[in-house]
Amino acid sequence: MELSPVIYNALIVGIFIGSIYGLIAVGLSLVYGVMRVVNIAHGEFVMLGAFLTFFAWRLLGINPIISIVIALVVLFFIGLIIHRFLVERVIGKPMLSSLMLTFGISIFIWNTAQAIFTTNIKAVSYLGGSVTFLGVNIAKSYILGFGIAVLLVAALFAFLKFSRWGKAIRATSQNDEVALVCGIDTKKVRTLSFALGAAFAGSAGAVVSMTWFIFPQMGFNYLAKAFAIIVLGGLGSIPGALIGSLIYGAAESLTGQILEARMSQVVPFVILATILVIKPSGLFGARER
Amino acid sequence: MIIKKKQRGINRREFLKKTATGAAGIAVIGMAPGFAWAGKKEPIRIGASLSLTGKYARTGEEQRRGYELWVEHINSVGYSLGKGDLPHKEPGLIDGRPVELIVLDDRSDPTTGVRLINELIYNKKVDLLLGPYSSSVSNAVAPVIEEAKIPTPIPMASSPKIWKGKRRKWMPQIQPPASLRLPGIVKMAKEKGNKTIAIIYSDAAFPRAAAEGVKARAKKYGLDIVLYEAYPKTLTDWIPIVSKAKDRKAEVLAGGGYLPDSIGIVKAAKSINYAPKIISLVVGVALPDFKDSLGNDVLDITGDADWEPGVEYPGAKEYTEAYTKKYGAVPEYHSAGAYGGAQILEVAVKRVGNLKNRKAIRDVMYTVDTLTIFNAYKVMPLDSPDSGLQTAAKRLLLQWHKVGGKLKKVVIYPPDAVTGKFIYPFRGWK
Repeated sequence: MELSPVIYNALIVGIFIGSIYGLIAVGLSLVYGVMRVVNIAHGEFVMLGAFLTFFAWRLLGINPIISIVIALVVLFFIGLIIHRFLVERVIGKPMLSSLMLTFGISIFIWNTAQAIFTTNIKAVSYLGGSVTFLGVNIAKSYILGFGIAVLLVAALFAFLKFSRWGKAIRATSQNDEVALVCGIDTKKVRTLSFALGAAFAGSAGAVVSMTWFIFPQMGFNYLAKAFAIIVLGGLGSIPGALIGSLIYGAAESLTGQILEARMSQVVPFVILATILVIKPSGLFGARER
Repeated sequence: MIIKKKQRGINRREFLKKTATGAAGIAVIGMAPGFAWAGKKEPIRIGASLSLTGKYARTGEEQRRGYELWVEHINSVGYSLGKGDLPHKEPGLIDGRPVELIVLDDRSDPTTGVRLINELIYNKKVDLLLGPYSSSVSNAVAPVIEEAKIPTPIPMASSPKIWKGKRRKWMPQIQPPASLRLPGIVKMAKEKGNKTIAIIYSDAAFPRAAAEGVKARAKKYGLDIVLYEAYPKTLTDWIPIVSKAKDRKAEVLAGGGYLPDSIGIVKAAKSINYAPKIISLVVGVALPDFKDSLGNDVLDITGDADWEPGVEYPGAKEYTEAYTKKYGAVPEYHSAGAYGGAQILEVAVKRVGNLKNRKAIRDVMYTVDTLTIFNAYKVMPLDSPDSGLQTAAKRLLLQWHKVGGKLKKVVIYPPDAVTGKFIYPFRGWK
């Protein structure tokens, strides 16, 4: 069957959208990989990044593209503080403790956000137009999101592969006890990973503020997607999160175009279920040790 | 050690003595408010479950403000704006009794709404109720209200399905039914020579009803419906579905859901550079957030509203002033609808003059023909299978224009309410 323009179109758009999901999922996966914590508050970091971009743009006139960097840095430090004072306390405890804690943090953040930012729906009207790219009419903000995702994920890979701290993160992720024995300060590694995860979510939030709309409870939508993606790709695997997000984005977009919009949130989960039946640890997941 | 333990402990006699003193103390303190109430009258407790968080938080909050303003006016002068002709001697709803509003948050979730309405009726034992936000929640709580037999105006539910053939005896509709959403748009599209229309809508009770209404009128006027599709309520990206409308070359794009949908659809249309001749969306277009989020992209986009600050209903102007003074913003139809809905309750309660006779209050609500600050009001009578369905309220079609360098909504339909010219066709994205 020849690829019809409609399908081609949907596929490209889906991959672009998937890359934005990827930014969110990679952070979540990193945190899980290093400390076996599913961070329920991850979506709230996306929301904070988005609001940060919105207010920087609305009040200070800062270009949203610059805000991507600002959000990255600010959320890095927010993540650092939250980990240092809260999350670190539940490391090594039963899964339920960390779930309860991050769920609590999540509720705290979005309720505070609602009190401060009000429930009004906001959006950054920047880069709203479209360009023809790869023969497809595509939103400029998607291209930006894709570019940022490629850049940041590549940087993360390089960091994990070559830098001292990156190697420490990988070692801790593989086996924290052995890493500790080898002289790695695993506590610092965990703090760094959590902060990096939050920074990625924050930068994704900045992109989201240009692409979609923002409101205090938006985080959960993205958390749900990111969680499905990291399960699909294999919990704790960064390449898995990346491939998973592209599959998720493409499935969502293609379903919406070919079948029906209502099905677009079903099909990714059907794919997830199918993959889990064939390979229970996800695409790139290692068996739990 | 043992002695220490004994000292720290407390024996049974001591325990009884202390608790008895404590209880007596609490009882004495507890009487104080009782004395205070002797001077004031016991408040009339009115409950409402509203969507203060979650997807409908923005519009739910508007509705709360409408209710609050009504309570404030009742408690300060004894009648609401434009209702000075009702019997009133003193502040309060009847017999000088002030209104106490009890609002709970249903988180935009129908099942939570049901739980909270039960809570209000059976635990908090409220005297009266005011309706929730959205058709979905209103539909979910309808059986509870009907069973409890409490007269409840439902201001913010426009889906006619809640009433059609259901013989609702205790909950009159305030908003114009959703089948009349986007009034005039199909007619105007046809007059301008358009042939194709795409209707996309959120998969929820009210948008579905709105879409069905537009579809029926499109068929009547002989437009070709090239796309008629629902999308999930939780959608965050509208590009796939709007792309479909573009691929099928729809000249008119209509539908939507709530505020997020309107913003999302416009963003999606712009990002794929789809410029149909007419874009017309329900709910969101009327809200200031729509303009605040999209800026100049709102130009030429049409949408509907049940109410605008400039409408000529008795008290509407004063309402706009009172709202602006209290909340520092211009009101839109959700708050006005809430206020208007509460006014129907006010009319009925005052005419009956007795809270105990709920049946009589209900009967007034089902027979009265009146105007509120919000709209005209009359519902299908009790003996009709569609009892409670709104029949008198009208809706306006708006379009965003640039007037004197500022973005402004003008009314372009119906002809007797027009405040500006219909700009056609849509001039494209800048």
